[in-house]
Amino acid sequence: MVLAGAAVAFFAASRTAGAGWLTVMVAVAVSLLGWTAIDAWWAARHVTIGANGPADATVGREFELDLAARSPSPVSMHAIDPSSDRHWMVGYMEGPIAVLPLRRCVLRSVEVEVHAGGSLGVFTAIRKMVLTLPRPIDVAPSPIAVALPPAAMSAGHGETAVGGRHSDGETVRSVREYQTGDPVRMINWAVTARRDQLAVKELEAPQAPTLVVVLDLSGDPGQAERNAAMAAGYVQTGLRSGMPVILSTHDEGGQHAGGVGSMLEAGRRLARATPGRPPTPVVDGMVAQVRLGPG
Amino acid sequence: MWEAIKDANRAVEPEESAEVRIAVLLTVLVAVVALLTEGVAGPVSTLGALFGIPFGFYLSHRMRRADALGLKAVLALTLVAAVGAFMVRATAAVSEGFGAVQLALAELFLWVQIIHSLHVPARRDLMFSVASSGVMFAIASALSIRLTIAPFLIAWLLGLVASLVLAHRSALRRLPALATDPPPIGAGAAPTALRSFAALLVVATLVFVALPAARSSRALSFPSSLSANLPIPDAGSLNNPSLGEGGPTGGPASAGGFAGRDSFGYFGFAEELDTSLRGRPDETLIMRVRAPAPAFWRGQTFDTWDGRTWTQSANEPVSIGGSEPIGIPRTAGDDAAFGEEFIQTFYMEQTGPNIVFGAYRASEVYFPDRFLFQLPEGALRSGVQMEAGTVYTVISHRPVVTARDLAANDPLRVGIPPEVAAHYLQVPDSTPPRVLDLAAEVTADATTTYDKVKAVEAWMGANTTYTLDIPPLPDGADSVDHYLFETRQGFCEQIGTSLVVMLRSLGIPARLVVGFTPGERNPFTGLYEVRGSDAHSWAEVYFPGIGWQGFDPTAAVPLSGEFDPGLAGEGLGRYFGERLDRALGVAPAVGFVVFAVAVAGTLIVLGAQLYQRRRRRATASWSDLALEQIDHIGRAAGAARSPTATLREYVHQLVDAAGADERLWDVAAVISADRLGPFPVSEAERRAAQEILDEIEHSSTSRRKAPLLVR
Repeated sequence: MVLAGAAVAFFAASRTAGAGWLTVMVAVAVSLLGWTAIDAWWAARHVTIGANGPADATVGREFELDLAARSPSPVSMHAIDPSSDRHWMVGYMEGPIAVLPLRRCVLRSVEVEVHAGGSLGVFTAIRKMVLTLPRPIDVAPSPIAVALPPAAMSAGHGETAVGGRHSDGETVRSVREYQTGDPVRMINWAVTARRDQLAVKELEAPQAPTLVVVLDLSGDPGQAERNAAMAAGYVQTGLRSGMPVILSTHDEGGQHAGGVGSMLEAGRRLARATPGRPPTPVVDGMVAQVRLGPG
Repeated sequence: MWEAIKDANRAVEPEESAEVRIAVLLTVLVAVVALLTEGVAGPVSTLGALFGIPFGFYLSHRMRRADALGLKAVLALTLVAAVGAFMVRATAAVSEGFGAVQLALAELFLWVQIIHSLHVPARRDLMFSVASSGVMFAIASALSIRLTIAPFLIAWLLGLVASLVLAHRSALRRLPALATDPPPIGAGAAPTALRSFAALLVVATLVFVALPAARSSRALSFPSSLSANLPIPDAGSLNNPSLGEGGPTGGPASAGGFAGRDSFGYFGFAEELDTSLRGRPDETLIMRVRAPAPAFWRGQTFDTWDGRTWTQSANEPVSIGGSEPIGIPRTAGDDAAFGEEFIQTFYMEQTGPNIVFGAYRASEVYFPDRFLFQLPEGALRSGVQMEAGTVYTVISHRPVVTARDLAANDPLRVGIPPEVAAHYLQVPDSTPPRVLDLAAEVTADATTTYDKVKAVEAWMGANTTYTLDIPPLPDGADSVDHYLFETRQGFCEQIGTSLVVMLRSLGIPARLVVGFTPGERNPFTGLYEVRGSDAHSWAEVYFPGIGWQGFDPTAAVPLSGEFDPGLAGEGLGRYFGERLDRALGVAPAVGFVVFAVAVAGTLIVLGAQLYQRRRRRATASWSDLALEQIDHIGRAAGAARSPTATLREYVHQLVDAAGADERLWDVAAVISADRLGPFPVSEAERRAAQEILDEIEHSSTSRRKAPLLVR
């Protein structure tokens, strides 16, 4: 603005006062305006950036994104989504920048904003660049601390159970012939009736209940994300308690239910979860089930 | 309240870069010196600027982190005092005209710059200094009438670019770098600044060429000053020191000229003009003229012709003036009541005749002596010697005429006033009849006076030759007859005289004028540069209702209504071309020198580039050079690095797609470790990687026609 104003003022003066050198100054001011604008635009156009990052990240936790960039003149740049602080670079530079993801997603690209002032920095050309990542980054939800629900015997929901459970939570491993001294309550009457001789149950020690987390991300997106974070919290609590955890979600491949052995695995599953009806897993024995969804 | 004031004046983020401060300081100082050379400041301001500004910058750097509330208060008071001093000076200078106020304003600006320099802690303040240096330079530009400001402009532009480049990098330096071990951000600033400077010069030249030319259509100031007040003993008489012993009022000392005449002295600026004299003034710069358009700068006229010499029939000067501006009374034939205001400022570069030059018709003159002398025919003389450095402004009211206007105002049809007819139709009886016959013959088909004038001009153009090298006029010969029928060669005195005599023989009032042609318009200053060789004589013809109109077959000066100022760059090529021609024409050695300088300059530039490249190789890190080498290998393989490709991606591309040596992976690992790793790479690893690179590069470049990269 100052330059443009000066150019106009000089021009008016040169056209009235006849000062030839003022015309030269007009030319200088105009060329400075024009050249610096073109230079900044050119510099922004010629910035090239490549990006790479880790396989996994968590919402709300910074992770390092490796950038390799080339620029003919000094520029500053920062990631917009996920966000980062501004960094400067010139020539060819490689290095990490700390970025902060704010939402659960599978990050396939990163949006970066480049501020290029050219050589002189009078004007700043802003260019937004979408950098495709060589491999996606699974951004898992940040777990919310939750308390596990009480476990109960699986009702089976009409599906066939894969094994029996004793009322005390002990598992029937096998059946053998009755021997003297065996408690009467251990007699398996059904087998006794079939075999026509007394048979007793052999029991295993009681197992930890299985945590089943069913996550449905349909409905309000905000609530869905909160549910995802709660699901992460349940999984984390379950895993820390030594419980087998089954996570049931819906993702791009359709319904998906399966056990998760670590938070990394759970995080990836949750990062990729999409709105849709999850399957209801069938689990025998003691089950602590959590259903997270709309309503 | 106090807390609010303190909060508002709390220290801002300071500029830590000393380089930026030095660059800005130099930029400001260049502008200050440029302004000082235009004579805007007295010794106090000059010393204050030259010493105060550097001290201020030093102080600002030392106190850049301080709140400096007290200092700000002192500076504010000082600024008020400076404005007060300006008001006092401006009030006193009002009577001297806007020009004096303009100088006072320029000096005030200088003081604002001095005061401001004492507190420039932040980059924003420094950039303000840069901007104000631009304004100062613009003021200097407005005042400058010479090319001597050009080196300052170049230096200022260089400083401006350096300041901007360094400030830009300094602003970025506050951010974290992308690389863990970045190069200094200032590295490469000098070549960047030089490149930008060169680009700006090119663009500015192109813009300048396309801009409309400067015009002095609305003058606010009417400069006038004397470099020395030396009264002429015989007030009102003609004084021309440049004519030597023959001047000022006497005739020629010899037939060949005046004894002791200056090389630029013109014999026409005398009481009489002897057409038998030979010898022309040289290229010495006589004066600069600021004017909106080219015009004849008239000096005086002659009305009486005796066949060899022109004289003035009435030459008793009358004193005019007493106030500023000096009103100029009309004289015989000054018919036009109105006309285009045409302001000319004359800057004398040589001590010359005390004739006040100006375009027809001068109506007011700003002259420092407050008094002038006017001859009956209208010529103006000063009462003081016209020393080099004298400045005066003439306001003329030019009748805006076109060829059609002149054709419509025919003196032969409308009538000729008696006072005009009494002086400007005289033809000596001694004039050979064939001169009169020729005039009648040439104009036989012309119906108007204007057509007759143009017909005579055209005949002269077709049948005579303009040359400065003519033989002496034989004793007793009529100058016009000798020119028209004997030699048909002559210069302006012969041509102008012949035109006047031929027109007078047809009953058309005409007179001979001596003065200067417009000179060459300097495309930079916008001023006309009038040289000794521009001294000229030409004819003036009377047109009723319009007045005296100049005609000259030898000088192309457009009519006042037909001038188009054009673009600023118009004539730029001509300006330089003429100088080169002149240089080459005068001394072929100069051409050789120009060529040698050009070659030497090219060699210096190439040498500097080579040195810079070698220096870069010497200072660049191993990994930088290794990266360049990989790029080179890739380009040789026809697989140039994609702009978005990282090193790993590129190596992947080279190895998998272009079939490059797989050992590139090892090299890439060492480069990455060297650039990004927490510990430096050992010399042995670097050497091993470099050997692999060299081997691959040698292999690729030696097989350009064959598969370039091999596993």
